[in-house]
Amino acid sequence: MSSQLANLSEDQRDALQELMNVAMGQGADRLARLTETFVTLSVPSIHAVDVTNTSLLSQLTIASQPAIITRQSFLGRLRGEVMVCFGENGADQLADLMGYEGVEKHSIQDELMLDVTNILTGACINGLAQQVDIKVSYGPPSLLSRGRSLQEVLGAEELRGHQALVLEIHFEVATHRFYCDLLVCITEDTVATVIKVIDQLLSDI
Amino acid sequence: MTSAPGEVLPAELVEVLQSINLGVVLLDSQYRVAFWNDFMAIHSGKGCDEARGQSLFDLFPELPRLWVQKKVDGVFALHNLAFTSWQQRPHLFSFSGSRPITGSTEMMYQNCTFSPMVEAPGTVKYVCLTISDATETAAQHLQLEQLNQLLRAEQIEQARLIHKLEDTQAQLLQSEKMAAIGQLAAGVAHEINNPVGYVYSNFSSLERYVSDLFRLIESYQAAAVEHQDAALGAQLEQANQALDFDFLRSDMADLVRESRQGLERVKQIVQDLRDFSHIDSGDWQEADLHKGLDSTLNVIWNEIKFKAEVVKNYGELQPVQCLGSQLNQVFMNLIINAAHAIEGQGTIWLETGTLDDWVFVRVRDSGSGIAPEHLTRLFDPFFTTKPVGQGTGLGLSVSYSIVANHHGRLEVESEPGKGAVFTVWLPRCQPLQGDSADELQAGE
Repeated sequence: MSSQLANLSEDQRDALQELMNVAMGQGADRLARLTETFVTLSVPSIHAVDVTNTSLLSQLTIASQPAIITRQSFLGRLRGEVMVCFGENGADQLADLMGYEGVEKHSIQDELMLDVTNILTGACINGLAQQVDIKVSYGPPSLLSRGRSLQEVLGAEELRGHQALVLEIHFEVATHRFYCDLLVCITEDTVATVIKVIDQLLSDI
Repeated sequence: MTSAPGEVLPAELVEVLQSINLGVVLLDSQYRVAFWNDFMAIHSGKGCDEARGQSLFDLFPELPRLWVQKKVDGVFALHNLAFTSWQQRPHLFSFSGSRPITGSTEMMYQNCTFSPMVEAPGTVKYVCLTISDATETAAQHLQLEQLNQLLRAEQIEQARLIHKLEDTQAQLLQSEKMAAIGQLAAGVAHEINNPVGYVYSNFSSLERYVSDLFRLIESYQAAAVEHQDAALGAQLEQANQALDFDFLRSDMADLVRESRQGLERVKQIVQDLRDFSHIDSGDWQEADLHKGLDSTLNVIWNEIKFKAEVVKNYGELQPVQCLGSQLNQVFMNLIINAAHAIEGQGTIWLETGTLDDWVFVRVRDSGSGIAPEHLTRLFDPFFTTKPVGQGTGLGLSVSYSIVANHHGRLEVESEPGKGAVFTVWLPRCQPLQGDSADELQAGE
């Protein structure tokens, strides 16, 4: 199985990148309409790796800074987890955008981050799922760690030895001075679904 | 909009939804209820027909309106799920608890899911809100959390006690050592006291006998002069000169006087040793602190006589209720520390006095003083600035606890280079309550 991920051809890689770009474009469009603000979802950088590959983790811009990290799983024929790295203020800047009003910031920080995680996961994964034409379901979002860097968290025992396709996405709401980073990890066994679609696309050309 | 359940959903599906143990609500894009199941009817008290077509926020005014709207909007826009968790939002709907008899929680803990009901591809007709009862999980979780907190608190308390135990053990060790030394000293003093006692009394007799003997010799000499016997006179004169009688007579007196002084000093040292260790007064007694200071000073005189001049400035002191031997230990620690702080030659001032119901004993030195950063740690067990092997770091901590045991306080003032001042403040009488009072009575 690991060969399939590691041995993506140039064409496959390009097609995959294109697929992701379209998915994120659609995701960003929906987010913008929902929040009525201008949002940007960066073009994802794609890494086909062992999650514990430290050389990858050191390449990730956000991996070394201590952050609040949330996670949410998506399930089905496309399976994996999205990790969202927030700064130390979480998503406080988005409180009004997410419908929190007249409450003390501290008491809602966790829930607010989980809400943002859910929306972002939905936007990104639904975009992708539509491209490959499969249905996904979601688990509820939860807090993964607080005050540790992604490097530390992913280096921890429970995540070791997992092969995955990793997408690094940057999300920004300029008007609210908010940004966060997403790491979409798709398990290797379900990546085959994506690759099959890519191969289909390539043969259609 | 007021369509019957059968118009929104197939009849069989409605049957399933009615019996399922979840709250199910279908909401349209205007947040109006299109359908809800029996679970909702039971907990809200309003049947499906009554609720249909009404805004969710009219039915449940307690809901955070804007926040729920955003959730529903998000599902309509993104076609994804949205969640609420009992951990962050325990009671979205104020339903009464699901453990009415045994439960300690009055409200139902809920996990909610907002999911899209897709009609034609790409359009969401309803948002399906499901509410599950998480009271069981929440109750267990909260109980565990409470237990955890309790354990953590106990752990902290245990760590504190262990630390305290270590301190106490160290102090006990030190004071036991001092007690052992005191007992040894008292034992030695006692052993020396007996022979010195009879030597001293024999010596008094000896002194008398010697002076008698000289008087006898003088009367012989006078008798010889009366007889006017030249031969006898010359013989006596020769004997006198041969034995240097005049010197012998004058020196004998000196020898006897000096030996007597020596014996008296031995007696004094023995008495000081006994006073210092207070072997005869291990209980609370009224004691003269000046006497304690003096005997302590005598015992440790060898340690300080070459380093410092001791200036006594004693004020008026009434007898103080105390454990004499313990206080002497404090004085000894303070005076020896003062001597150690002096490099080369210096002065140690001993001052005493009375202020209201308190008496004080002050030990001041012209030594090197104490660094400000050390002042706060001075009374900590094992804190020492002396080289390894020369100080245990227990002297001051033991002194501190002895003074505290007397309901007094031990104060320190110092500037580096200007010497240090330690002041022992003691109440003249011990308060008549608590442990010390019991000890006091036991002692009497």
